[in-house]
Amino acid sequence: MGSVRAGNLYGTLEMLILRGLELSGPMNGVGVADLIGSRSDGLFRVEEGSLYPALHRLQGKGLVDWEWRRTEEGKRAKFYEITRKGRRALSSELKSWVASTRAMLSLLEVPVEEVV
Amino acid sequence: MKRPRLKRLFHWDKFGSNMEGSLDDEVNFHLETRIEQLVAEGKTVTEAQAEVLKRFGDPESVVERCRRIDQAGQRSRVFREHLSDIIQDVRQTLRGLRKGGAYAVVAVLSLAVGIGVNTSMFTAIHAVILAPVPGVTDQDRIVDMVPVVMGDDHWAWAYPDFENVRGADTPFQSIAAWAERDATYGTEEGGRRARVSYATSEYFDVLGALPTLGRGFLHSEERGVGQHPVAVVSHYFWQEQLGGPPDILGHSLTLDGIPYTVVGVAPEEFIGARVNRNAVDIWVPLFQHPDAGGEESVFGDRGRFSVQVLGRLGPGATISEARAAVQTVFAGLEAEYPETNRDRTVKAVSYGRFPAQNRIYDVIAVVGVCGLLVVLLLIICGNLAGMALARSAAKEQEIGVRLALGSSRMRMVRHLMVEAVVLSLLGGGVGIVLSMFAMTRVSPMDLGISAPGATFEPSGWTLAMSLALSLLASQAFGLLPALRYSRPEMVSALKDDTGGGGRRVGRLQRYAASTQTGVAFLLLLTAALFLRSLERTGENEIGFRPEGLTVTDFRTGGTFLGFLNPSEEGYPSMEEGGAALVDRLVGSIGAIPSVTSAALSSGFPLDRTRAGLSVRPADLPDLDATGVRVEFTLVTEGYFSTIDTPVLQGRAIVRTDDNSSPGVAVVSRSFADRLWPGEDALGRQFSQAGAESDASRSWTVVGVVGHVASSVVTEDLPQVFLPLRQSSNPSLILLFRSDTDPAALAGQVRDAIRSVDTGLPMPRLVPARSVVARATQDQRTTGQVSGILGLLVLLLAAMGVYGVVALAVTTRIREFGLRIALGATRRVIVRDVFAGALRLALPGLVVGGLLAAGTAVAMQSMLLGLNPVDPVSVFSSGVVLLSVVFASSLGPALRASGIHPMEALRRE
Repeated sequence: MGSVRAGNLYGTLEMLILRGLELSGPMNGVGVADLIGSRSDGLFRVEEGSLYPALHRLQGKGLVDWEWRRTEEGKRAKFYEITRKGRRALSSELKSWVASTRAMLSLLEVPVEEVV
Repeated sequence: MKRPRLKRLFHWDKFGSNMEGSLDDEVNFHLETRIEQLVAEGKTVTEAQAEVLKRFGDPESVVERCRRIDQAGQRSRVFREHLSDIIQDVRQTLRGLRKGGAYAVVAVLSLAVGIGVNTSMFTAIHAVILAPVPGVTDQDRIVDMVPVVMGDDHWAWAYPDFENVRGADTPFQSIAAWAERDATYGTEEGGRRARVSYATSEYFDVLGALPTLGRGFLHSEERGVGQHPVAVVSHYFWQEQLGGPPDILGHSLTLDGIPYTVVGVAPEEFIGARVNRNAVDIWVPLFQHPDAGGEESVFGDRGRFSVQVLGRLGPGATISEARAAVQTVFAGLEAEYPETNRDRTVKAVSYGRFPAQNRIYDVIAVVGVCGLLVVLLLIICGNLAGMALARSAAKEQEIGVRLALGSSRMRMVRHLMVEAVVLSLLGGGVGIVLSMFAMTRVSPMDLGISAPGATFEPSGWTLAMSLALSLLASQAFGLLPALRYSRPEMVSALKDDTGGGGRRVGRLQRYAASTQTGVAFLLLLTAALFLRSLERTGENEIGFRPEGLTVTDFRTGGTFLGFLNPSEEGYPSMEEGGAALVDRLVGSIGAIPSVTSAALSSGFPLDRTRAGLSVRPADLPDLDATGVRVEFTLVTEGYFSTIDTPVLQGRAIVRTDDNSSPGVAVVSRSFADRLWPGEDALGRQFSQAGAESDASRSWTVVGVVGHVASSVVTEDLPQVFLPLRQSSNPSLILLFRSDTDPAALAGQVRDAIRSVDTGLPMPRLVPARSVVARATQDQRTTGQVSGILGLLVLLLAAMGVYGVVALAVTTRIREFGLRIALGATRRVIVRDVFAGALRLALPGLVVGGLLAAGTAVAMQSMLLGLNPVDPVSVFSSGVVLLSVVFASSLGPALRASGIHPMEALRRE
């Protein structure tokens, strides 16, 4: 559990997507891209296209469910929603991520409060 | 976000409502939204497009990546679903087993039997045939050369032929000959038997079994009769018989009275070139053989067959080249020595455990046994298929409904197949464990193969074969019922308004069930007959008292009573003073305090030696050359008191009945009655039939004893007892009666024999009780084996009957329902089902019973006087068979009688 997931962008991106879906409810790809872009204050910038493979991976693992719906503007769009399995995966993933981050911080002798 | 699971399951997304879009749609929506946003911010469409594409990356490649991810996900989902279905099927099967579902339990048990038996066979085949010859290296380069004389496989070569082949140009690297016999080696406690192999110098090279300690034989040690007393001992002999001294090389060893020097120890595993009852203890050069010397040398004459031959192929040579070369040599010998070598050749075959002589018969025997056991397994599978069919027929309508509701037919077939595989693997597992458990308790020795330390070890090969067989079995009994589900008529069960009565239980299945009951009856009846006949040995008069009587067996490790043959041990014959040995043996054993009586004889009742003689009254002209067949035993004084048989008339054999006195005999009551019916036998004379009435071939009756058992338990011949001292060259066993435990006497008996002569072999003490038990061994074995087989087949028969009856009941459910509705009582219905079962079993029982009677009549002599149609046996096995038939149809019968009329009718 305590391993540092350094450089695992896929894993991190998937976690971000799941967390976004958990907090904001069902969204289409554009919404997810906007959410991640605004939450990370532009720090976390990826090619928006790479979001879709991540979404489809989550879909394949059964962590998100999907449905085609009409947007407010009346267009057809694919909406994603986090599943119960997805919530469980996210929470355990978060725990291990926090644990490893804490471990990193204490190794670097940086008090958590200071960073936050 | 509720969607029916099915949609996702069958990936109908793209065929569903208009709402569903493709991957392209998804990406396009993103791009369009972004472009619209930028245009709304005041950019031109072209600028916006460029900007969006820059931020998004290549849409084509994104779509492609997503498509691949989706496909992979699809595959793994389908796989997971299949897997979870299969796991569910496995769980269901195991639950059935835990709840004691009759089908599952019977399936596992009977498959355990079938596969267990086959596993044992595989183990035996592996150990006896396929496993390499112990201690031999590069076995596949060795060629076994079987002489063929007049077209028949022969056991040995003439030694000069071997020398010709050895001297010829053949593809062999080396070629060796050897002969084996039992010899006596001397110990401080007296002589013991040892298996000795007399071998040429290449022997150890050819077998790749070079001595691990010391050396083999030098080429110079090969010639010169009796000139090279050097020996190689087996590892076992070194450790167990010689006590394993580390400085064994140079030790001296006495073989048949000649001192040998130990020059080597063979590899630990090595027990000789042939794997059989006799593991070799000692190897010595060929010309140390006692018959090697002189004019009569067994090795000097092309007419005498004495040695076996093996050759090791040179590098790159093949067995067919070797065969051709050797046959060429033999063709030359035939031309050169037409007198002896006519029609003589050699066939070269691969060397192995299997004896090369008449190998084809052994192969046929093994294949036959294998075939029988596989048929047994097939019968088991057939029964299980029958049971499975009966079961599925019972659920036919339910299944029909489920199929109509869209349940996948494949899913059902898979369920049945998974069930079959799980059951057969479980059954196979149990069978394999049982078989290995049983086989570790049997040693190859029991099958006539003696190899120190060799066992029936489970091997990877055995395990693989058994597992393969289990899976094959599952296909055999799972496939038939499973296939029925895929037949279109299954659905018609729904609209079948005849209540399924249209289909009849398969005729083949009925025949099979009937045959099995018949075979079970045959085997059980045979078992009952033999076990009953055993009870009679106790009742039959054996004519002596085995309690307290001990027989000494002079042969080591033999099955039969062995004899001390004084002339072979170097003692003179009786005429030349050999009687002194007899006097001293009887005297010194008789001197042991707790021994009340001792005697020497050439045989013993029930010893299975069959020493026969044809006699006639001496005063009658020899009209009938065949005479009366009797059994004779040579005995010393004290014989009758030792075996405790009373002398009814006259006297027993006494010390003074020797070569200097006229020939006398003590005969049994039945002997006297045969030769002189109604007359007094004392003082009468009889002679050997077909011989001139000279003094040495006629005897005067001096005593009559009661009935004494013959040497073979199934015969009852008149007995005659002749003085041992009046015979020229007797073989001896020693008998004594004592009032203490004979095992405690072993030391004293050994001392007594050593005090006579230290060169005498040491006997084994055998209680007379065990001689009697051994005499009835055949009866016991036949009874036990057919009993075990009978119970096995009985189990099969029960399954077969159950399958047929259950299926019949199922197909007649509507009929039963109607009859109950019309007032038939439950009892009538049960009786009806039982009658059906009886009709099924009866033909088999009748035929089986007739066969059993025929077998019993043919083996009547083995039944020790029991009536072959013994009513007790017939009745008891008949009752067992019928109860099993009824018990196995009880379930279906109760089901039939418990049918609720309304339910049965509603089944339309």
